[in-house]
Amino acid sequence: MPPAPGESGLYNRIAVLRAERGISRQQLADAVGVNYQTIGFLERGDYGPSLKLAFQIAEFFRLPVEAIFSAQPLTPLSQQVYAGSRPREKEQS
Amino acid sequence: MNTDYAIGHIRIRFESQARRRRFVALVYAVLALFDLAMSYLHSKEIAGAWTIGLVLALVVLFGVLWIIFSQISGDMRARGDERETHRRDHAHYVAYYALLYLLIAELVMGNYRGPNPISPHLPVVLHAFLAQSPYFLFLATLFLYLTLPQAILLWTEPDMEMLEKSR
Repeated sequence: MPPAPGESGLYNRIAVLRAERGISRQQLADAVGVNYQTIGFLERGDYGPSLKLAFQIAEFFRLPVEAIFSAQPLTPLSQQVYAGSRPREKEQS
Repeated sequence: MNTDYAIGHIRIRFESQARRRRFVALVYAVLALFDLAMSYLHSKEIAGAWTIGLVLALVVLFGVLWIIFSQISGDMRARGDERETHRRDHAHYVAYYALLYLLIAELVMGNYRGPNPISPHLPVVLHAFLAQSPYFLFLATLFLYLTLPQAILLWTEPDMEMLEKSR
């Protein structure tokens, strides 16, 4: 479940991606040139990043920016990945 | 914000909002005392040695607090963190907008040419203080100009300890 958008009104997957790849806040902060606290504010949705920072984060994770940030609630990545394969599974059965 | 401040071997952590607010209150208590002492000195042609000593002690104390104060509120040029820059800009806007009212009040008081509004029946101490109030306000404005944006930043930043625990 993505975190609530907080003050920024933006949903994001930064915490999930970080956990998945075993990256600390400090490592991500150093890579994109911000304070580690700012990563915390971004993850909680309390701060909306600039376009530049959003693209820097997207580049760091090697994902399109819309896969990380959204104005709409984000569905879990697993649900997105397997959503397309379900009908085929049903056809096979 | 630099929430982990070190003076030699002493480390002071400022993640806690309550701790930051106590620190801001301490800075302004020292500044208020300094302002009062300076206003008293201004009213006397010859000040006693103890008064000058007190003022010098307050200057040193404020100097030390000012160094910590400006260090923990962060150095925008060094880090270039966009959130901090945004918060700092907002704090400056709020601070200087509030100071505008103080400056208008001083301008009105400074240009007042009517009858003396201070009653001669007031206690001597209060009478002396009111007579020095333009000088007191001038110093207060100067101190607020130097410190208010940082104070707003330290006062309003969320409690980092609570945010970390709530995750």
